Amino acid sequence: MSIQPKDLVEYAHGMLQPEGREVEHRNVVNRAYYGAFLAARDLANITGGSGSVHLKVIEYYRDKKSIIGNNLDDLKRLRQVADYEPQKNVTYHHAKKSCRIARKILRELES
Amino acid sequence: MSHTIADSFEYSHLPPVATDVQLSNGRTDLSTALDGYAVGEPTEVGNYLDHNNDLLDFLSSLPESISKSDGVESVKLEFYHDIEEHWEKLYVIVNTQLDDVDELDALENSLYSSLFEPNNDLISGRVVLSIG
Repeated sequence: MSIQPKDLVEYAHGMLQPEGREVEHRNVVNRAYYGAFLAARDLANITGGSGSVHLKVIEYYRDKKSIIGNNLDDLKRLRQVADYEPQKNVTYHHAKKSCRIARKILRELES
Repeated sequence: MSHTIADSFEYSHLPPVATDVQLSNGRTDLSTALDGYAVGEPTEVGNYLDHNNDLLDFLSSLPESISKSDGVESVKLEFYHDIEEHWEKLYVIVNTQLDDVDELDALENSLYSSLFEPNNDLISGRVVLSIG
């Protein structure tokens, strides 16, 4: 593996800029989500990258350690808006929130 | 400096939050149950709760309990449809005055463990806590 999922989260955090452009805030949200999601998916040993894999991962943690499932749900919503809904405003606050949640998920996964 | 951070994604061209009048149109019971919330996308929230009315007692209990926590400014209820995998959930979004990451994490853990986790069998897969 060339990188680890947590590298994506730290990349996202490093890209945080209060005065950044909206497209940059959206990129931060996307990278933060995928870093946390991939870390969670791999630890759960859930394979596949298509279908309902996001929901499978969320539901796995809802059963095992539900606050991680809740945080993944939260981050998924942020990422969907960042990636698919250009008509909505994505701000530095959303980018910062995404990084907070992603880092929290990583800590919970390691604990 | 203390300031309110609104979590909600506001549309550039549409009003983001419904009034109680909009929500209560023909749905007095729903409006009463959701007293204390700002409701985003009220039609979608109402339709979701029409099919998940076992959540009403739980949802109606939250705003008062959440508002007791330090730093909480408001509580919003939003509907979410996942356009990649086509599932739907409700989000309880707690807007706060907090900016410190550790304080936000602590508030999230506290609210989740006291209000959401004990009701996991009821709400799992349907209601999500989100701290602004």
